Amino acid sequence: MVNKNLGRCSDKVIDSLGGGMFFLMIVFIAVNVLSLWFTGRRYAQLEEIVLSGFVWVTYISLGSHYRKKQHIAVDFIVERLRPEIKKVIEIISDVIVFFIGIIVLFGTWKLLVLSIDKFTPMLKLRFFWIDLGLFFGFISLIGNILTKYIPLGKEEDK
Amino acid sequence: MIYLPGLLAFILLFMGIPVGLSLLVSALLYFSFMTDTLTLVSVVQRMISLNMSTSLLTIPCFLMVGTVMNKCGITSRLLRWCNALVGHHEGGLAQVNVLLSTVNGGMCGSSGADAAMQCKILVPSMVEHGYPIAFAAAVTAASGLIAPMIPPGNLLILYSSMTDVSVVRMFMAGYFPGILMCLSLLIVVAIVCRRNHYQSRSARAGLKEVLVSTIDASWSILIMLVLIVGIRMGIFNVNEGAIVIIILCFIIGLFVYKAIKINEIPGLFIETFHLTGNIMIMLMGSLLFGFYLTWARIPQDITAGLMQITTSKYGFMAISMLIMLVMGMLMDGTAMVMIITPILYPIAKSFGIDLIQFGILVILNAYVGSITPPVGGVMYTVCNITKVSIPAFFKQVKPFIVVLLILLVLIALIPEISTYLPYAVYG
Repeated sequence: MVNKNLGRCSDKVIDSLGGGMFFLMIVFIAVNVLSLWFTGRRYAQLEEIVLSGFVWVTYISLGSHYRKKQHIAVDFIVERLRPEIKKVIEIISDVIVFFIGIIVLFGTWKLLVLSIDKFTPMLKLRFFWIDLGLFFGFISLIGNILTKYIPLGKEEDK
Repeated sequence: MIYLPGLLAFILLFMGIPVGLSLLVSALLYFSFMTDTLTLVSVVQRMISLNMSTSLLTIPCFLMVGTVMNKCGITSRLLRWCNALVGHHEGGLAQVNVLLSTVNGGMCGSSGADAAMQCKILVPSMVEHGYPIAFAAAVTAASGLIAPMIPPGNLLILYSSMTDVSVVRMFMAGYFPGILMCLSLLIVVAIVCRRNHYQSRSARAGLKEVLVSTIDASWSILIMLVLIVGIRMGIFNVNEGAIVIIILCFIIGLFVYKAIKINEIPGLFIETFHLTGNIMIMLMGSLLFGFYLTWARIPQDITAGLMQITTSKYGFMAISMLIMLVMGMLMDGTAMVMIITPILYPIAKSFGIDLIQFGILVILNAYVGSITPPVGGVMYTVCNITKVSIPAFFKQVKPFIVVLLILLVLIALIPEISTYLPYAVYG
């Protein structure tokens, strides 16, 4: 029950955060297009925000898509297997993705430490905030895999 | 040993691990454990820097265009217009099905998604008009393959973002093959319908009906024209074009067609955000996988191996087309393009093949495979929605596959089909 609520809650956060960022990206691109047409000026600052947001938009939904099996996958072989073999393969897949998630997380952590005092050229935005999108994405991937196997809270009485 | 991650990628793919993650896992395995020439931090940094590219912004922009066009009633009006134009022919609705895929211009990102949309819109009314459901499903699946070829098909954008071919050139390159696909499918539909006496509208749509549907769809037609002419005349670049179309669609959908309400707009952004996340993860995986291949100098090894089998570029094209067809039968077209492009693109380059032509071949191959048993992705999508059995579907789709294979060979043998327009327009 707690797992489900946690999933639903994190989905809402991701929808709001990602949808909002995506909206801002489109608006800022539109502002730049219109500004270029009407005033002949393009704002590099807006472009920088758009590209930074793009990193977040790419990675933020990683865990939620993985949990809901929304990623494109080649599953025709697995689908034809017996349920128990299917389950074993699913567990092996989860373990592989989990470990690679840990490796990326470790690399991202080191990158975050390095990028804390590095700044973007226009807005002087810390690269830390951009790299955090990747960190967040892989944290949510690992979190979603863990909550699949570790039940949080008590099961409701039937 | 350096081939191990590449091999692992295929094993993971067939274990059902998402395409993007499978490619990412194999690339990271190589960089983390098999080479010490690049640090993990540099690889992770690359996952971010590759993402921060202005040219990749085309992908979310056009995904947004597709979502907005569908929700704002643009697609449904185009359907009515096509019906008024060709609905009176033998097999009118089947012809409409093909034509709609062509004018709709493949904005769903995947031919599977495109075919799924047409299944829901057209197949029920085709069945109502007396078409066998297996034939309706076959036409929908085959015509769904045109959509990714017609600009601004997302696969054209994805191929260009993985290679150094400009996206506007790929757009131009898609027109002739797309139109040829449309014409050849229309011919097959006409022959099959005539032979089997499938639906014919009782009367040709009157001038008034054609006019009314044209006026009704005029905004939708205008939108397509604005995009094509705007990019062609250099009024705006691809991203700007997408933004203009989004703004126009919102205005038309809200105030002219009244097909959406203000409170539905946030949902469109959330929907496109999810689509973007999904496609971008695959793209990032593919780009990193391509980086691993280049770093490990695998394309050079494969080229050397292939050179021992054939030194002719046509020989290479035949081999690669065969590989791509088989892979297209086993996975989604978008996924196949993501996997195969980093491997074959450098080799095609070294064989002196025109990379625009090669791109069109990759995309077409991926999709022809996807309507072919045993496990074509589009075939499964369409059969799942329409509840048609695979053998019944295959019986009906055979003539379409034959015609598309002939077209594939023609595009391989006559580069001008795909390269004439981009070079004529952009030099």
